[in-house]
Amino acid sequence: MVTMVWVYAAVVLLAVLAVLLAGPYLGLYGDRDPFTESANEDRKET
Amino acid sequence: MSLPWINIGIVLLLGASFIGAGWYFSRRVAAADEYILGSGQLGVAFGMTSLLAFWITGNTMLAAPESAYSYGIIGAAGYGLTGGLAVVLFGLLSKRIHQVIPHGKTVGDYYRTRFGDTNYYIFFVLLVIYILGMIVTQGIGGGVLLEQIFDIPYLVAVPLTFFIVIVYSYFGGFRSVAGVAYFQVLLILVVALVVPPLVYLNVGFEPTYEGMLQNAPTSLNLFEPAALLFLFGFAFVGTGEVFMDNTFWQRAYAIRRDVVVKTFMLSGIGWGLVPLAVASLAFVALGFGDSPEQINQVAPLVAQIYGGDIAGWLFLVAVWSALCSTTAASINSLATLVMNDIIPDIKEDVADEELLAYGKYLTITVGVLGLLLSLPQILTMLQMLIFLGVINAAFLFPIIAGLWWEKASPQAVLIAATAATVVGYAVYFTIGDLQGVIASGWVSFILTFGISLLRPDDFEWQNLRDVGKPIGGDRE
Repeated sequence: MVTMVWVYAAVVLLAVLAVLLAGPYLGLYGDRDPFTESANEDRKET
Repeated sequence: MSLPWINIGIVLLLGASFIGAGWYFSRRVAAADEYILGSGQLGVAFGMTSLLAFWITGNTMLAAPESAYSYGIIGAAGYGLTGGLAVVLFGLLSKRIHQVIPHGKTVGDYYRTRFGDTNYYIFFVLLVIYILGMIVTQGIGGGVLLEQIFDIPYLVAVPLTFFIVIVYSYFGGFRSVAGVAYFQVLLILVVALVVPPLVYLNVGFEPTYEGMLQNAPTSLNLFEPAALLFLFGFAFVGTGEVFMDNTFWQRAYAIRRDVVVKTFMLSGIGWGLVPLAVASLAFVALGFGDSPEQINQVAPLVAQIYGGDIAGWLFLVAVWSALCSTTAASINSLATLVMNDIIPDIKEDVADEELLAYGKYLTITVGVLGLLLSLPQILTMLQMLIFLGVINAAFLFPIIAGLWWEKASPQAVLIAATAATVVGYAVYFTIGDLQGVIASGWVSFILTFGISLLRPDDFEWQNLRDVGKPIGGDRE
């Protein structure tokens, strides 16, 4: 039972990790295009 | 005591060919940057073989079967999936790395510029511990393998392996290591494709399954909590390793930007099949009740017993090639990290030829240090990987946050990485090893993002773009 708590903790954190890494490809980081403009340039423009 | 000269002959023959190839690839190395990254223009083929050669380690060939022997089906799947997944995930970052720090050469170039000197020195010390640990696991694995299965005494096997690796890494640095890796990967893949089918043709699938059902029924249980903990906990060990290890950063910089994501993705998928193939050998041991003296020797033992002498020798060739390629890449990674990040701090205006010479001296120094630390056998390979995984998980979230988010602050990263390491090891020693890795990851995540939200930074990305200079012209 206690072991399964650690398993769930690992699964949730892995999901967080996957979302963080896939975020730019899914458009989760707003309208900035990470591959053509740097974030600072985007911010200054807005 | 009589020495097994046929086995020593195989090792010497392979070693001589590695040294010859290493020398051949080193002929065009004239500058310090080439010693660190080669041409910086690797395409898909050499990029993939370079990645696979490093990541198909002695651990992959020995610890993957060890995890299958300990945790059954889930152990084999866990090792294969998580290590491959880690490379795929790093692939998602690789293009961003090219974009924000186009002329970087090491992970230190990024970490120091992004988070400052204090953070960097903590990171550097822990990274050195990790890379040395990686080198030592290969050294111990190689020595034990050659001694237990192929009768070459440990104290002969380890120095022999390190001598060959140091010599060919010394000649041309990254260029030699990546060039020789091409042949090493071909050898490893051929053996991974040939030996397991050969063994199963001899023993049969059904008797193996029946034997597992009778001798070790829990190995077939997909919902065994300990095995599930290994599956998901070990994902952090693999991912943390890949994200922190300078070896992967070197390759992210060295592979052309237009193919870097594809190369990492294909390498991750291809890599996953190798541990799955060799781990399947452990099922034969479980099914037929063979118990090796040390668990990480289960695969070569099975290859020799059920595949015959030829399979045993083939396995020796593959594992030894994997050990050499990973040891060489790790030695080159640590030597060039010090060469690029530390030497210019100690000595101002160091000339390029002088820096190249330092790189070669450092290759010898790191190699000899790895050799000396490998002579006493401390932990098994899997134990060492999980032990170092606490450190890897602590730096996972700072690295990701710093690449994408200008608000990720050096102060948050300092607190997060330190607290994650301390808490992780406290849990490791009091509750359990994989629990320590998971705790380290959670603390790192919460503190990196939590403190950065409360006290945000405003990082100027141009600072990263200004780091370093292009190798042989602009790569953009």
